[in-house]
Amino acid sequence: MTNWPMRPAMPSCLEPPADGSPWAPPLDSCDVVVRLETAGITDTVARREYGYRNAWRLAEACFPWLRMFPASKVRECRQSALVEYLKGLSFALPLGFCCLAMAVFHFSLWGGDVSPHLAAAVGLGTVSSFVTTGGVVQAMARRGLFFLSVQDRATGEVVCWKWVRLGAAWLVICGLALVAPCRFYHWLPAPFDWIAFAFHLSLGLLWLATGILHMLERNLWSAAATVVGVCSVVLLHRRLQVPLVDAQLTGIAVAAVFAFSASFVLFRSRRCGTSGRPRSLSPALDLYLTWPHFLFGTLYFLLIFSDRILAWTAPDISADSPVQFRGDYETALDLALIAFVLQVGRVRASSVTFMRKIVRAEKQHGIDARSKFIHQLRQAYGRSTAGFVLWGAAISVGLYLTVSRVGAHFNPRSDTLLWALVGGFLMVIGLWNSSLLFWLSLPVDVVTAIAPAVAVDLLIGYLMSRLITYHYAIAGFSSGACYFAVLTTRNLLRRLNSLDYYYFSSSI
Amino acid sequence: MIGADVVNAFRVSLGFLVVFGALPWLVALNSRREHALMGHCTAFMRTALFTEIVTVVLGSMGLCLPGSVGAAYVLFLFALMFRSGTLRHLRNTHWLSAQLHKLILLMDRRVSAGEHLQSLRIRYVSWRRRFDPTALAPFRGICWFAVFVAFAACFYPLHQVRFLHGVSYSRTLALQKLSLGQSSPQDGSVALLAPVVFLSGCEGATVVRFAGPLFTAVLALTTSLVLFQLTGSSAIGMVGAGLVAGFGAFADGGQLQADGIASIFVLLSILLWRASRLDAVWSMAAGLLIDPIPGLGMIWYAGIPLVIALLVLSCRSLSRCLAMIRVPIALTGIACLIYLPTKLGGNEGPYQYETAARAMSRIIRELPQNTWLVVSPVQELAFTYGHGWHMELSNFVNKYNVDEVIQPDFHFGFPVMDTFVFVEKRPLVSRALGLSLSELGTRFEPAIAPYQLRLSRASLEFEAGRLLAAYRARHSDVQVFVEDENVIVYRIRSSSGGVRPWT
Repeated sequence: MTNWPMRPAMPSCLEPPADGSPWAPPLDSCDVVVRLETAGITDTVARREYGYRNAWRLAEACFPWLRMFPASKVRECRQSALVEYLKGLSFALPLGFCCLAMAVFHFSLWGGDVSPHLAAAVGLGTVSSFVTTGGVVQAMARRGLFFLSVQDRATGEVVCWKWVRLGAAWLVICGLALVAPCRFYHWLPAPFDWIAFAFHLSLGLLWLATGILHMLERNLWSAAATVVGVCSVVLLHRRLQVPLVDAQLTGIAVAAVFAFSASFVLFRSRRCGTSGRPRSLSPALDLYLTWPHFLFGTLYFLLIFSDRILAWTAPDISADSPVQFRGDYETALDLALIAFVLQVGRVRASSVTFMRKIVRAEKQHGIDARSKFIHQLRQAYGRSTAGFVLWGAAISVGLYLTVSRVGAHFNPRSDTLLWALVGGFLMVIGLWNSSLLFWLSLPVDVVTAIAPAVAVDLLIGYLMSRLITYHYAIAGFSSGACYFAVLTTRNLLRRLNSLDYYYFSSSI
Repeated sequence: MIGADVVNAFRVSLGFLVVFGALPWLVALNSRREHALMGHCTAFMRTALFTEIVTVVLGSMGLCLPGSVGAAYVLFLFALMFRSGTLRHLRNTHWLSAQLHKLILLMDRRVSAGEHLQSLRIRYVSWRRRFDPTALAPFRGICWFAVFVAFAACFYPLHQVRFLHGVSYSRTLALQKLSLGQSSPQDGSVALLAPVVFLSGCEGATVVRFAGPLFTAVLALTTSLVLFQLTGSSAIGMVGAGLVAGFGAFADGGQLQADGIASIFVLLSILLWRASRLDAVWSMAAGLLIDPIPGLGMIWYAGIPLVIALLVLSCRSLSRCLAMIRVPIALTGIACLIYLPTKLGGNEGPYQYETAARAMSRIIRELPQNTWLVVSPVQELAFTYGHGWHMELSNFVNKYNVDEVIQPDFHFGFPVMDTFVFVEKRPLVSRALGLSLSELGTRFEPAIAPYQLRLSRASLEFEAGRLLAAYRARHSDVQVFVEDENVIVYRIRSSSGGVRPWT
């Protein structure tokens, strides 16, 4: 029979809460000391009120008894992997609706059967809108999510709208900076440069609006905004015989207004029942906290799109303008985008699973089992990465074979498609690593990986497109993505060696 | 002179100033040199040599394109900054943190516009203090003279589109090919201009047209600096510059060709000899790269300042005499630059009519790229290359005959939207054309021989005129685009509704 010591006079802060809220037994006496200190039980209090020499003695006395209380179940809001995967995929819903519209009406919110000059203008406007707003959306999400997670919804809302205003101003500045060289160097004949500017501005506003919805995890609203926009284009172009470009610009503006309105309503509904005034924020602090996120957002889209720009500007003495939209190149990339979307959907699910594993492992292992904790999570990371590799390989091979068999209608260049599939696969690995690094509050590690990757993309893409043909600009993207994947894996593996520290520091 | 010419002159000057002014200044900032003048001359020479080598090497690979040349410049500057230690701060994380901290403080302080202006003013004043006004005084007149030389030499290209030298057409063609990433014969004088094409956004013809006068100004400046260095007198420098400018007006019509540009570097090598033998050798190498076989022109350009220096050094009293007449000589040089090119060119020619050159310029400006075809003698190819299509008049005349084109259902069927046929109503007669092949001498070129002989040219133009007259009589798609007493340019619109399979 075990001789249990007498139950000491135990502070109530150590016992399981009476309301049955989640409670875990302490791992060791050190854990008990931390809990005591948090509750304000210092050595003096331990001596005066509980009769122990100090808090350590009190903790050592209480620990065996506390172990006897069963842990109350943590009500984890666990969802199946499939649901998480579908949630991860939901960001691509607007894109899916645009593809559907293209298949049905032969035009969409942007693009369609247009002249080469117009296609180049729309393409330039679209790419620049993504690159310009990418950083703003990331920074907005970083600050907005922080305030929403600490239940300061008023400040969260104010921060988001502030970033939207900043993003709009940034869009105008970058747009004018795009139009000026277009005019000076005659990259596009007039008025196509202004059309590019109009698409840049309208699409940029739409991305800002959908960025808020994505941050609030309301991707269905983004899809609804796209549907509303497409319907507007169809109505204006088909029924009212408005020229396609005008109809599309109006449709994008309608979609942006719809998305902004939805964001406004969602923010207001979240604020209902909570009081509190938004706190005033220093722009300097915003800059300090968000610069890596801003850089990441911008560089990410540069990495994704720079090969297109290189392909479109490859010198062609017989071309009718220096910027040429390359339809065959675009087809291959669009097909590869399907595989990319299907793979990237896993990033969210895998990140959530990995974080759950960290929390579970933290509870399993005591403070002296640090190496076990790290070993277990490195194994978990390895398994998840292997899953990405297998999933990516299966999807890429499947898509390549499908396109080779039944894709005669699209007629993409098989080498371009192959490069794009490889690049997309590597990009997903990089994004998976980046997601974990962001979870661990290590955004600078991501930036230091993506910046050289963009440089590699530009260098290889430039040389390949100029020395061989523009179809090989995609090799730049694949090389950049490979570099990004390698650097983020290296950075993450280094951090995983001290995961306990980084996990702790990320939570404070 | 039209507005577009002024704008083009401004664009080319801007590109030229960046490549041969701002870049050397950046190089000078990152180089250690005791003597400021020598430092800037060395930086100019090094930048030009780097440009020359990079564009020639990249051009041989078909990579002389804006991106690669820009990247080469960035690497060059970074290498210099790394060597000079300017970049050492970037490796210091504490320094970077301090900069970020300063930025944050700046943002939080929200400095007013007035404070910003005040800070800028203080910086400007402290920057001005770095220069010693007495040390700069001798160069003020020389610099102003160089500016006036540039303006005077630009007088002809601002009023005339055609070139005065046959070699300018081939240089233009080579420059267009080089800047479009096409294989072209290596021409050192052209390689220097490729970055100017990229920065100015102008076509090769415009850059060659306006860069010549700008190089004339650089040559005048270099001459005066060399003479100042050798004789210690800025007045003698002004005299030499005036004489060189005058000679440039006589020899090249103020539009410096390869030998003149190479002379700049030969003179620079003399200037740099005392300061650094190695730099002097590099400068000479740059000159040889630009003009590998020095001709009489280069001897004159380099010889004038050297002879003046020798005379002045051997007879000091001559120095005072020359100093007294420096202003008249300088003014004469400028007057020559304004007056002589128009006299050299005459009203028309020597290689094409001004109307034809202006028509080409208008076509390039007004019509979309590669949607048109020009049928003309070979000179227009230099203007069309990279913008549209060109067919030699001799081929056109050989391919079609009057009986064929007179048929109502006949169409030329060129796969472009517009075809322009240049016909000389009065075939060009100039000193550049000969009566027989033997008269052409070294100017003979087999490919363009039909246009170099007066009779042959007249025959081709007559035949082309007859063809177009016959075609116009039965077809309504022909318009007169431009016409004067010498030239008529026909415009034939495509009957296939603007299908452009060539593009």
